[in-house]
Amino acid sequence: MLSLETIFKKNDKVPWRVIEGEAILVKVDSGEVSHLNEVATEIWQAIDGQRKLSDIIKHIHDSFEVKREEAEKDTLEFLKALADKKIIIAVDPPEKKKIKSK
Amino acid sequence: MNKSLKVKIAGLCAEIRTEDFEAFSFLRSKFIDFLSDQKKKNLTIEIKGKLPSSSNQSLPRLVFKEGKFYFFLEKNPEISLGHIDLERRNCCISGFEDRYKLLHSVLLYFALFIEKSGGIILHASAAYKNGHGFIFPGPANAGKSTILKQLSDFCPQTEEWTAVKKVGNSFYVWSIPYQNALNKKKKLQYIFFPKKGKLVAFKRLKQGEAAKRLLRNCLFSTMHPELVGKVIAGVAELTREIPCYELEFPLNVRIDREIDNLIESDKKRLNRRRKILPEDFDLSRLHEPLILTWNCNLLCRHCRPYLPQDETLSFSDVKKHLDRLAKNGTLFLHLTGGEPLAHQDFWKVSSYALKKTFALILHTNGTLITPEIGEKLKSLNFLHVFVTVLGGNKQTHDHLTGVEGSFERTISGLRILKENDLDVILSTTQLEENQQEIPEIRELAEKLGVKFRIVPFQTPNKKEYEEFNQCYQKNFQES
Repeated sequence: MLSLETIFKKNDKVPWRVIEGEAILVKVDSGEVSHLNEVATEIWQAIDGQRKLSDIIKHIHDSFEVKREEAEKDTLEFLKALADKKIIIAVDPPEKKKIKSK
Repeated sequence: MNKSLKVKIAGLCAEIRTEDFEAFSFLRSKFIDFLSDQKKKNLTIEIKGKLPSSSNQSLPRLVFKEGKFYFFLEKNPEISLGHIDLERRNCCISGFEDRYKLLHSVLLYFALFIEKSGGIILHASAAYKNGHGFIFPGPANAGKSTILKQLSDFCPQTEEWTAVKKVGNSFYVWSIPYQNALNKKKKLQYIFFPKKGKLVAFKRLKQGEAAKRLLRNCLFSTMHPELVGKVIAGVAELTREIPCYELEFPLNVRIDREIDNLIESDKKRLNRRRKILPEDFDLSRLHEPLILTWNCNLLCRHCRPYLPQDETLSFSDVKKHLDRLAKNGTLFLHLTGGEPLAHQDFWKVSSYALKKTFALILHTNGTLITPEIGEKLKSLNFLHVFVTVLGGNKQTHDHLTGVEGSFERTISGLRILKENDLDVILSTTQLEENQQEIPEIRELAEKLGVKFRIVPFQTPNKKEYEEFNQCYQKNFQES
């Protein structure tokens, strides 16, 4: 389940580059090459294994001056699609990790 | 008593300290919209003492001398009015009778650090609408301020000085404090060079032309070569990524509608382009070969005699190449040789390339592939593996590779790759000796359940390829 606290990291087996401000991703299983638009590229670059979903939504809201609800809807939809395709992976929040390591 | 105020311009926060109450209240009034209560500061400015009033009308400029930047008046290059310590990021300025020289010095100090952090300062007005930022660079009288008045739906941001800097993936516009400047940060969408004329007309400028025009309107805080270089690089990137137009406009006519139409038509074009990779997008520019080694365990007669002997890249050299390729936008990395699997650090290289988010493609003769190697290639997420087969049967293949038993080993390699669910392409080079067997080789690929491709023989280096071809043709004619 996605929550605003969810943290995602990029699947480190997905090759990608940003060319002229737009990300190009390669899905290795299928050889499919996808091209992200400007907003999707901004979201993709914000996925760093540290930022919470709420931080990413805020970042998109600030960068594109869209309505908060719109930023939230777009970001959630996009991240869900990426997660379904295993292009990004949800990680445990840092607090939990600390408890586990103890 | 020491007075202090914090000012934030283009994302940089400076604390200004002074004992001079007049200097304090003057600067406070000039920066009123740019005051900050941010705790962390990036820069410090100390204003000390006072200089006698002078009739020198020139403004201060920054000169680099013995590791520091000094403020000098243009017409009075003997007396320094203060200095900047780059390492400690602090600045010491004498209080001036002429307050505008003081203001100018403080702004120069900011400009220096904006340039240092990759930003540029432009003689440009700016406006925004629906989150889109627009700048209008131009010399005096070009129409920078006039155009703001003719854009009634747009909110004017600044009339005279603008800072532009890339943050993350996008360029942003800030105002530099000046009369009527609003302290705003907007995402830059367009650059329009205003030109007074009879009709409203847009002319899209090519990058070179736009960069030339932009450079003419750049403030260079100093002529220090490193900073000048940074500004030029910034302008090049800016004009490459942001659309630049010459905007001809008549006086006293609203031009909102025309700009809206332009944005709308550009947007449509962008949307169309974004659904799939555009047809004119040249995917080949994302591909780059990396010859790990010229060493090979086979002795192919059409290849081996023309390869340089025993040349192998060290891991540290490979890393340097990969860093450069990643930076230049290469996505598909073709690991090739010689025989790349014969490189002593092949796995280290592949892991490093994976970390750098390349899509990995291997070009191999297949003879060295064991089940372990097959698994490892799969775990490193290789996108394609090209395996060269030169004949449809043992006789032809082994004859051409010069190594007895190579056909069986290559076929075994192909099977292992296929079992590991890799995308395998059996590739062949059409030579005089095997051209009759091409259908047989194709059948072999079908039997193994792998793709088939005929590739022209070439070493990835164009010059070597040409030399090779000449040599090959000569030998061929002689035999």
